[in-house]
Amino acid sequence: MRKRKSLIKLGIGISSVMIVLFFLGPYYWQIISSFKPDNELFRMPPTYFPKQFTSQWYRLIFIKRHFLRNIFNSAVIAGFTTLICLICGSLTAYAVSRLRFRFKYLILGLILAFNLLPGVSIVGPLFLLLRKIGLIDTHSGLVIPYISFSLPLTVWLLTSYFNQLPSELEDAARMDGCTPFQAYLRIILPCALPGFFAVLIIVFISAWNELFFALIYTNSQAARTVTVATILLQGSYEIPWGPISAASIAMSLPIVLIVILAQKGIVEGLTRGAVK
Amino acid sequence: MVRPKTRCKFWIVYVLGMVSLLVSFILCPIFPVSGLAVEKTKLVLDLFEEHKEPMEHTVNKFEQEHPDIDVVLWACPPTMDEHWSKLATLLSAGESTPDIVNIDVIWPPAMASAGWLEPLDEKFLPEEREKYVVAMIKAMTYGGHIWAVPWYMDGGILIWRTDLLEQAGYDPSQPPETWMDMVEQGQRIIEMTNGEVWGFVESMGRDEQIVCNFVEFIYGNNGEIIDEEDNVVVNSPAGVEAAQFMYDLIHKYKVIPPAATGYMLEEARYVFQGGKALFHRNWAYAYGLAQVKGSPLRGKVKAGPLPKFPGGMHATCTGGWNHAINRNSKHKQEAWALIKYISSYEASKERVLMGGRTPARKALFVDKDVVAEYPHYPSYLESYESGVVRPVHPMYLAMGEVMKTELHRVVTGEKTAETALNSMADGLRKILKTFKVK
Amino acid sequence: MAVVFLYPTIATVWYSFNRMNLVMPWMKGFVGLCNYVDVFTDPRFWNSLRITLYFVGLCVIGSLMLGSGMALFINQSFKGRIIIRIAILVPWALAMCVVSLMWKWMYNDQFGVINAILMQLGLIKDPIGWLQTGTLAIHTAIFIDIWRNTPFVSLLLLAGLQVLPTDLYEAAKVDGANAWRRFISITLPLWKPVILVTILFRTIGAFNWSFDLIYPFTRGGPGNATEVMPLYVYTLYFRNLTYGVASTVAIVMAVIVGIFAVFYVKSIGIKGYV
Repeated sequence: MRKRKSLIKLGIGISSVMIVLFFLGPYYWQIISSFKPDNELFRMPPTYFPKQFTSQWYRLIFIKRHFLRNIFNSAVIAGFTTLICLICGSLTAYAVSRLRFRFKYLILGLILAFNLLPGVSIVGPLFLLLRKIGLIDTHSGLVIPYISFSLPLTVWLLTSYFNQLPSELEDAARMDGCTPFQAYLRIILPCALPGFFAVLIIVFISAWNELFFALIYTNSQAARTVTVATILLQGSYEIPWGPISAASIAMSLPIVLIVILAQKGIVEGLTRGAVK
Repeated sequence: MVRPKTRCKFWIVYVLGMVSLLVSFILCPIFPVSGLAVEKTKLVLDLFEEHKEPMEHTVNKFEQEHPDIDVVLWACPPTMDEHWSKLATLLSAGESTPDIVNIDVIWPPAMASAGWLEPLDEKFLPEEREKYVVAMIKAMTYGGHIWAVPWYMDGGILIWRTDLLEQAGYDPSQPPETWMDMVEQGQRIIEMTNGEVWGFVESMGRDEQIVCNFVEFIYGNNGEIIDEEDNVVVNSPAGVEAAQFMYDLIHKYKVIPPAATGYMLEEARYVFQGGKALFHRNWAYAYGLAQVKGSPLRGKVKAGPLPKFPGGMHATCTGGWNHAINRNSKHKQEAWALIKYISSYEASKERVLMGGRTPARKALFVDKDVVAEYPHYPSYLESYESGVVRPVHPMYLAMGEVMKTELHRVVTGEKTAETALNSMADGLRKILKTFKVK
Repeated sequence: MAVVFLYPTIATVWYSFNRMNLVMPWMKGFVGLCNYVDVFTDPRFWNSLRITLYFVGLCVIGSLMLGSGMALFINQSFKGRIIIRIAILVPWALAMCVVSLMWKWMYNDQFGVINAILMQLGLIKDPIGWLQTGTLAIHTAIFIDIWRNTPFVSLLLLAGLQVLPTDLYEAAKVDGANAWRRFISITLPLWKPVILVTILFRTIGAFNWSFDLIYPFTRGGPGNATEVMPLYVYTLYFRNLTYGVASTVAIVMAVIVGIFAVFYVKSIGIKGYV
């Protein structure tokens, strides 16, 4: 029995290491590249740890290229996208999941239709529309398309998460005298928290990492996101790997932070959900 | 089951809430860009981020001389395709900014035909045009008008390792005269280093670059893509030979890494920069980077004109970027004043000496001070004067697409040179036929 | 949202019935179904469709297998799983454009890390040209896509697992069901809706948005071997400048994805979902 347990533990250990290596390997490579000077970057055989440590790339992007402003822009845009998506999406999902009305399937299908056309065909007409409202090169100008991309996923996912919660929960709450909305806030939300945080991560990261629309709808530092700023580090011919690695690491750090916080939230949500 | 009344209320609240959230968000832009004084005319100039510093220097001086004009610099996407996508979206929507667009040498006919540019015939006079290389001016001209002023010029050059060439027993200061000479020298170095160092490297990925390479080979073999009477002659024997040579470089002579068919521009340069090739074909910037302080190749490289085929010419593909005026711009006079200032001899010279790219004016390449800083510039001018242009046609982008697909099929061995060029010629003819002038 | 969505959609549909070329703006004209005929008789369209279906198929299946395996694995309690949960999200945290370029350089034959490691381990003698042939190129692209998108799949599936009520499991344990039985009868049926949604959006993502992966990676090469539909549409829009035909292809893409969606929902059973 003990042998079996330790074998299982060993199996878990090895799998964990392999998983971490597989997913984190290239990221580690990016991190060390961001600290290598130019002549070491693509030397063969490659060095797996920088022989010469340099912070020049980080200095370049933060001091010369004002990368912090880009991080701020991305944070605002992604933040608002996530907020609006979660609020509207969860209410819609709740309605679809719990209420019974005739056009349920139609609404789900229509919302999905937002995602069916490829971005390239939407870019032009949408540009005309946003320009009329005067939203080019502003945060709102990007939040609006991003919401329309992320909303379908939010609604569909949250609907499926809500469906997994039995309706007896609300019945119990209603018997205690809650309105449906209160039932939603106090009972369903905490139980579906893992789902919420998962969607939060996905929507936030999708909005943060998007390139094509951000490239075309922003012209200056006013609303330029981190992805555009990273691409702009490229020269018309050159691809300076030092600054690009530094920028990609810098732009992924806020995401990693959000992920850590969200995972904590998930764990808390789980423990709280257990106490019903 | 929720009662209908509650359900109704729920939806009303929900919709109202969503609408108000959205409206408030739109009406209150967060941290708007600091407003400019209303009296000043705002000119927007579109350029590459990497050229910002030298250009800011010029622009600041311009603003001093014209206190009522404020120039804003927009960073355009660095790659050609992304840049084109952005400009196409903006200009086809009739945007008035950027006032001055930064355009590639192959775009003027397309943009002019689409009605996005302002003709510059009255402003960019013939006497001025003579100060630029013929090929550049040819690329800016379409439909009897001229559409842009060159900003900086570029062309393909051959870069080589002088130390390796000496080691192989050849004169390190002379580039090979013909392509076969280069092949021979390349094969020698491969032999000597046991395959550690390749003979030649250039980017043969499925991109605009492979078209540029092909242009150099075909014109170097006295061939043409589209002749003066608009006949497609790319699949002439000269053209087929040129394409066949590209294939042979990889598969017959084996002087270039076979994976070069997947290399984009920078990867090829890194192979050379990493010391793994003797010869390299690239734009002028690559030589500059090889000679920069801290580069392991500093002092060990030289640049010169590309080889030719026997009986042909030392052809180099003309590249570079140019300034044009947006047809919908609200400040065309001021925009022209700025372009004139930027392209003036003194301003251009300052930018070149500040570390900017190769200039566009011929005279600057042989200017005393410039040559003192960059002694190889006169040899560049020699190459650029025999520059050739890719077809000057509004549908060039579509043609380029056909060309790069077929050329890539040749170098990967999917099709023979003759078959591919015949398909290419068919494709080009079809495109020419679809284009009907107004 | 509807307004934002409606206008571009209607515009696209309208364009698809018109002949439009950006550099010949005087040549606008309603051509009815001509564009559709052109598209369906173009071998390049069918080539692109075939490649895209293959690409999407392998990507979705690959990330589903890997993702669900990892979700189940992480759902067990063991020490240090927080680290794993954060680690697996890292590929998703990097932007696709950066990921694509990064992998391309890692795969380079002369100075790429992958060949270096393989040669140092003695597994290969000469560097492999990963992007040299169409087959290698497309499979390399699929691998990168799976690497980057499995976190998405596993995150959603994991959340789906964690929302499952635990008392069902306890009841089953009391009844004497073993782990496999519990998996088949409790986990799988309740998990199905989440799996559906995840696959659906993964398919939409791979079908419509794989541009960011393929374009920096191979630009559609060698030849046209990795030309997926988003890249093909992009070429039609911005290189051939034929907005009419491009819009037609866009509509066709939307319809195809729509068919997928209907197929998925039907196979899981819409009743099982709502």
